[in-house]
Amino acid sequence: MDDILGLSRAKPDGSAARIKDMMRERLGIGEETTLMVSELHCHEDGCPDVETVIAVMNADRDKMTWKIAKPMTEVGEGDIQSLMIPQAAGA
Amino acid sequence: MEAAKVPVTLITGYLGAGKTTLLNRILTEQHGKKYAVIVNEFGEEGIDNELVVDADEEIFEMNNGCICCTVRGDLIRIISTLMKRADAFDGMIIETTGLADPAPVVQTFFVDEDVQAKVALDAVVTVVDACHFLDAVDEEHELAEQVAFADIILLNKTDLVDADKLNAVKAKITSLNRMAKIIETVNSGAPIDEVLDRGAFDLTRVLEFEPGLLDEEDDHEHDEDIISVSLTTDTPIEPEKFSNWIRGFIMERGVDVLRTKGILNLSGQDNRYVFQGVHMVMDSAWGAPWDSASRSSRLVFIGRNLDEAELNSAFQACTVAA
Repeated sequence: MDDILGLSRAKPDGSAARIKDMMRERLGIGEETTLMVSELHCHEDGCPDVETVIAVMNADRDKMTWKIAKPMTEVGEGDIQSLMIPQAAGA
Repeated sequence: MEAAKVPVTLITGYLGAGKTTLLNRILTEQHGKKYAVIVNEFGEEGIDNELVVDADEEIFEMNNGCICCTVRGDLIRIISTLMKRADAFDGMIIETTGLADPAPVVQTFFVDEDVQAKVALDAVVTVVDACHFLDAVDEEHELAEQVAFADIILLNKTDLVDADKLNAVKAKITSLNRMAKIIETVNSGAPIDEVLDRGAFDLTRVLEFEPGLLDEEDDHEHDEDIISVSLTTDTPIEPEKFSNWIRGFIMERGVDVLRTKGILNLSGQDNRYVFQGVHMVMDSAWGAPWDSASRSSRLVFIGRNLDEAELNSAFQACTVAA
């Protein structure tokens, strides 16, 4: 049955894995580096309604976070290529 | 078929409540299972297990300052690493520090698809020291939060208090969290099957697990910082009205609402609609069909600055009769 109240979490559709693959290639990092990709529904004034948050979660890189003002399903190669990457993080 | 997820039990509790004693009881019980144990600090009491991982309580804010968007970076990293050797253990147990805020830990299990695909939060178990709880709870913000987030509360050291004090402690716990199951213990001696494999976040098991959710008794205090509010109606709920209200409410007040659970009798539906939330993270499922006799909708909020009369009025306005 459908979720007629719209309270269900979005079911995983592979978007996070796709974004992680693109980020790994962009950053030149392997599976040993933990990435987190999440979709944020922000309700604060001035924030986009939906954002994709990408973070490198390694202990020495925990400050590296990027936000793309799109749902995960719409994040594409162009969005990843246009991210500002600190020199120490990229390949 | 979806692969079975590794269950994760979160043990919280204030300093000296008996968390490590509970952990060691679980680990030394003859249950034939292996657990990965994640701890934030190695206390004086050793942990009797092969696989113990030290976490560093790294708070990661996805959105500056909003607790609803805060997770534990160290846990995401540790879980990702552990899951590469998932066949080596049957479950994970996380023991937090006495001062840890449970919200970022709980939310960690709902934000990343890879984490969600591999592990499932089974229950939040909070160990409470019956002797010192009443003195500490009004002063220590974290203690009230740990109780508020709990699915199971081990009311420990009951041998050190008299019956009056024990009842006062239980009343206070219930005022903070009417959904949690309270187990009275000495030396954290709870039956293991009442602590592990509870499926407290499994929407298909809400009915079997939540004693307070079906309890109409309304005995909580109204002057608390954190309170537990239980709402009920026998009139069917109009889906669109309820959806608009609850989504707007959580959007506006999600920071204050620690946990939400509901079982709804939606107009025109034969099955129960079950949902739950942690701050702004919500999830829902269709439950078993209703019996013909009783179709009461129940809704429980645990949080800060909740106005029960206002919430009840808004909830009743979602019925088909309103």
